[in-house]
Amino acid sequence: MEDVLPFLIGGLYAGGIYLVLHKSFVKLIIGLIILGYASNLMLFTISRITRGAPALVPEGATSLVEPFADPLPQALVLTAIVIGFGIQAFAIVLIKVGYRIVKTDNLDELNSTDRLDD
Amino acid sequence: MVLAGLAPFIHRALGNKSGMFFALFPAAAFVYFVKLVPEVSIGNTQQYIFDWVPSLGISLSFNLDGLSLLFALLITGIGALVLLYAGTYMKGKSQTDRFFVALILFMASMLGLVLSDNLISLFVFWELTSFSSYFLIGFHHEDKDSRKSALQALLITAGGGLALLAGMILLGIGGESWTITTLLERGDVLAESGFFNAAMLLIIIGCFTKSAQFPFHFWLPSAMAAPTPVSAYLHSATMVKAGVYLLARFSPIFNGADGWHAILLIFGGITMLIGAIIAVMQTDLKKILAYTTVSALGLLVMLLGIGTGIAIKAAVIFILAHALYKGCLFLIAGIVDHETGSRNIRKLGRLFKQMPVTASAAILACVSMVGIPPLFGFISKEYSYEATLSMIVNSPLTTSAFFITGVLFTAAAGMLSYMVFFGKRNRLRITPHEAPPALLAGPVVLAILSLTFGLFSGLANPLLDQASQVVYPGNEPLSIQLWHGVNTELILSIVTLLAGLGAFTFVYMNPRLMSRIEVSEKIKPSYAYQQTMDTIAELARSVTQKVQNGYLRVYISVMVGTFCILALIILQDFGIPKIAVTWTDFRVYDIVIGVLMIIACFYTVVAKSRLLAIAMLGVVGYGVAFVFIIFGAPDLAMTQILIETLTVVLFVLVLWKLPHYLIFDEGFIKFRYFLVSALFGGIMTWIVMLVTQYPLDSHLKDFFAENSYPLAMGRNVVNVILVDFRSLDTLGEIVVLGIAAIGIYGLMKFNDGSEKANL
Repeated sequence: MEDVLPFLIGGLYAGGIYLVLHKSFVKLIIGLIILGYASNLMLFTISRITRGAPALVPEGATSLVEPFADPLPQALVLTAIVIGFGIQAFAIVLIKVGYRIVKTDNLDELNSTDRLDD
Repeated sequence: MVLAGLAPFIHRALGNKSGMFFALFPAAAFVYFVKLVPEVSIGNTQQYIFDWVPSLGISLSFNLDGLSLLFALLITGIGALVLLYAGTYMKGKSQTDRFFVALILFMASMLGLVLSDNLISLFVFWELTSFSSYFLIGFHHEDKDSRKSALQALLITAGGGLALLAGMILLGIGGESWTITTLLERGDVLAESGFFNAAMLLIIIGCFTKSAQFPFHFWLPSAMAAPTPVSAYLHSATMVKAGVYLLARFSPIFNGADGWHAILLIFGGITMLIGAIIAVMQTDLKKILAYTTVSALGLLVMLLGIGTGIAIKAAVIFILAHALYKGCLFLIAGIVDHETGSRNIRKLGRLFKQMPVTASAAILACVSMVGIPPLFGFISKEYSYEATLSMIVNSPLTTSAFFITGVLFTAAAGMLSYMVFFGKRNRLRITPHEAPPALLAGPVVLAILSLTFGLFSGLANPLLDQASQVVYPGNEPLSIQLWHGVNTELILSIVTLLAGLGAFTFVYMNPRLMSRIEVSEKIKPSYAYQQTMDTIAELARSVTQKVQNGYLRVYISVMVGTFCILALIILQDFGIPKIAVTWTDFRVYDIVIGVLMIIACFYTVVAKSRLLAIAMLGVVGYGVAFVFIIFGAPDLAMTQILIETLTVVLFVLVLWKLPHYLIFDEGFIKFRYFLVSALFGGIMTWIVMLVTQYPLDSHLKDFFAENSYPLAMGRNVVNVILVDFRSLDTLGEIVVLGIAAIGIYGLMKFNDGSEKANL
């Protein structure tokens, strides 16, 4: 699995970027979610992975014994997952409300504030 | 000096007070400078040095020699009169406090400019004059023309300021000193450094923009949008002379270089002629004065360009003469405007009876401008003729140019005095009155000074002599006299006068002829300026439209593309990492999960229906959770599963009602996206493989392993980190979630007025 993970991460990144480049707002958000997975996995992987050894201090002991998974990246990723969810939820509701008002899901029609008046 | 520098702040504290009070400051400074005259006249200089940025060799050093003192006296003297005048002139207008702040700031920076002995501080003062004059010209900021003129003046003078800065830096590096007095003695060091010509050219450009020399002359007449006291002060006596001052200041270094003579002579001469010609075609009093000022500045530059001892003397004398009569005339134009409401010489006439004092002052000033004895202007004119006549080459050319200018000046002076105060009946509806004393004081004092310096020419002699010594070291002592005896200069003066009177009569008799002459807009330099400004604006617009085009995918493509290029540049040093599949560690479900996730991801991307895409997205998310489980992160897996479920549910609930799934992009564009994203994915794979090949040194891992139970009494180390060691992070995370929740709530409540929120 350790050898498969880099390719998996690359594949997720590629898929995410590909979706983000589309005109659809829904695809944009799905793409962002996939990019989130990819980033979490990458952070998890590059800080080295240890198979089947959660960072739990056994009963009776006062410290962890090797081998054990590095707890710090796990804590970071956990935070990232939760914050990522907050953003996703907000974005999803934003599409809904945006669609109700402007009646379009097309990003190219939502750029009027970004253009000069001429 | 310090007093003048503090003036704006004192003013702010005092609020809106009369000009009389402010006039005290420059008046005090004037008295101070007058006291210094005897000392400077015998060749002593005063120096004051304050360190400013010593590491860069920048200091606030002031040096007072003949030239500086001449300018300082003009600045403070005329400044005091103008402030006095402005107090009455601006009465009843709004925002006069701002006006005074800008005017006094200008006065202080102008004073700093002429006294500065350090290149950098001189430049700072130079820019300050540009900025404060911007506020003064644009004083009537409700008026579009006023704003435009102010911006024009600022852009031209500040643009020239950049050239000047570059020139000064070259000068400082080449001459190996930032002190002007030292530099003046190091002309040969500079000449060897190879920066000589570049520095000279840049400084000349800077001075030309400031002193309104051709082809930059057009900003000065436009700047007449400023209130009249400003025009009188900035545009006749001081600011426009800053360029002339600087040329004169650096004259000892550059005088003698071929380019110096040629450029100053040619451009000065052209400016002089153009200014004089346009002046007689104007009907607005201030415009006539503005163009004659342009012309006078041209004459000064030309005299500096001639560069002989006699020419420098002529220039120094003319600086004083011009400041006296032109300042006076500007103030009179202001009075006439103030009292009659018009500045059009075709409408004005026969004002002498109503305004005898104003008229007398005006006539004196005009007589000085024309150069009739016994006024000071006469002496100045004699010297200028002497300077052009004594040139070794090109004498006939410059003399005749000066002759034509003199003729036109006479005509302009006639227009200013005769047509306004005598001549035909005026066409005004109101009966003008004599101006109040505060307004009259300025012009009258200046006119009387013109007369005094003419009659008792010895008075100004010592100072002017010193000034000419500074500009032209080793110049013969100056001894100005009113009467030189009958010589070529005198005869030329008389001929000029007669021709000028003829020209004036012609102009006066044929008013329609003059107004019919129109110069095509396209050949004026102001047209070129306008074109340049328009082009710049257009360019900025088109670049912005290209760069900020409103297409998200273009922004993302650019970002991702840039990242890829940079990453590839860095990664090429590392080479391709080895793929060493260790079959000993092989587990079937690893591969199954990996492949499953890739497939799910692929389907998410290509799915034709939104529901399928979301379902596949869920599969990918659960896959990620499996990976976490396999590699010893049960907490992560739990969170991931929970969140994934929530996301999918939310997605389905919220997006259920959206109509169709948008699939827009086809063919080639899709392929381009594919290329970009495949490249990005590939690079990320490469990076992850690279990183995992190098050993990791994580002492944090050991720290948490050792301490989490003893210190925090927790067996689940990940949880301990979250709620204990890094609890502030977790608090931040909760805040983010809270903000997201508030945002969502707000969005749900959001109603555009036509429909009820219905989610």
